[in-house]
Amino acid sequence: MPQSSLYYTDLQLPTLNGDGTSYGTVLNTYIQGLETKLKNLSDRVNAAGVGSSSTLAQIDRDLAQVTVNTSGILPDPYSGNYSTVSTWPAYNTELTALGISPPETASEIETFFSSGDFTTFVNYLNGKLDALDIIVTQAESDLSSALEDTCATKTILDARTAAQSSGAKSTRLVDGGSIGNSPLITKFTKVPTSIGGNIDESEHKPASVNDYPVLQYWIDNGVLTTSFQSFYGIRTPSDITSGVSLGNYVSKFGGSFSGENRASGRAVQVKYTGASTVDSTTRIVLRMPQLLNRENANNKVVDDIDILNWEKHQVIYPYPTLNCSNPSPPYFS
Amino acid sequence: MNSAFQALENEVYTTDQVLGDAADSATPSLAYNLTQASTNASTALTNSQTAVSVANKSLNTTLTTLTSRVSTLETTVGAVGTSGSLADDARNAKTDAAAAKTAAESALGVP
Repeated sequence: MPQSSLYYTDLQLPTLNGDGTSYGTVLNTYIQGLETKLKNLSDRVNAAGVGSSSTLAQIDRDLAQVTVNTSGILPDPYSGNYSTVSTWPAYNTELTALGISPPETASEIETFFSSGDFTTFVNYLNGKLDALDIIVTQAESDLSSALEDTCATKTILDARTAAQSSGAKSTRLVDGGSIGNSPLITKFTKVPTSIGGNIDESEHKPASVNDYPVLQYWIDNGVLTTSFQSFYGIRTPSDITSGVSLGNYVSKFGGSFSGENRASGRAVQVKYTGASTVDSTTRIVLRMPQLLNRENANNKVVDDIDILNWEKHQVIYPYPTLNCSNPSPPYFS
Repeated sequence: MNSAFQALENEVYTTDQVLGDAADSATPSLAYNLTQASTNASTALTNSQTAVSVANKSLNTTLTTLTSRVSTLETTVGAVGTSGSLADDARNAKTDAAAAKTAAESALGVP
């Protein structure tokens, strides 16, 4: 009776001292079966590992491709000079309070992405960015307004320059903008100290704040600039020469004057001095030629000026059409 | 029997030939493919370890740099009232431009 082989149990070997005349047949059958298995094994090994189309060759190519794919990161860009950090360089207190620290190892990175830490981190930074977005949006709005106003300023100044070039004339205004002579009569009291020792000049100021002329009101409203052209004069001004700024002469007159204090050919200058630290308000300084005022023995101006008929002159230019909805800076480069 | 053993020997020999020489790159042999696979696997392992290290450092530095940049941006943008900040500069520019416009209008003689 044949017996099963040890490894290939489907093969049978003859039983020693058994099987009689069938011994050789059984053995032949066994060997042929083993031969078949070897052949199958050979075929399978061939398919698995021999030749360029084998499974092993494909594995080899895949491994080689892995090397090719990873070669792009070589050499290590950090070259060993970079060490990971475990604390955040900014917002460390807040992020630590949220239970988040910078991941350093592959395991920590895996946890960082799988545990929700990444989402928490993103949400935190999104909050920061949302807040920045609001501020930047407001800043953009502010800059847009600035650009529009700058465009308008440029347009207005250009229009003014053009009007000046075309010979725009001044008009006379009283307080409130009406054209005409101011009825204001102001008493200016002489200040003892003369200006700069010039005997032709003396300083006067109104007796009280309420006596300030129309000019005072205008200046107090902040419209005084170096290019501002609003003038006050005694009587009829005939020689308005320049714009007004602090320390400039507001008006300068020549020609003849009528009345008690007249002086043909003498100039009267009115100077704006700005806020005074003495009386905490602005005041008008008059520089009077000596012959226009009463003098003392030393030719110093000594008396008050009793009557000043002021009128305000202003050059009004046409207001231009502003086309600044789409500003195109720069405007003053 | 001899014929059977010869056939068996032939199969063993064939299997031996299949394994082949490790230097046989022409066929290439199983031994050659196995050697190459081992070499490539070793290289791939080294490279992948480097890649993981680089990825770790890259992510670490990316995240930390990101927080730094946001913080810097936050400082730069700032807020209205913080001198030198973008927001404050923009507000000042708006205020100044509006004042300049008003002054220009005054220059036109608009009371």
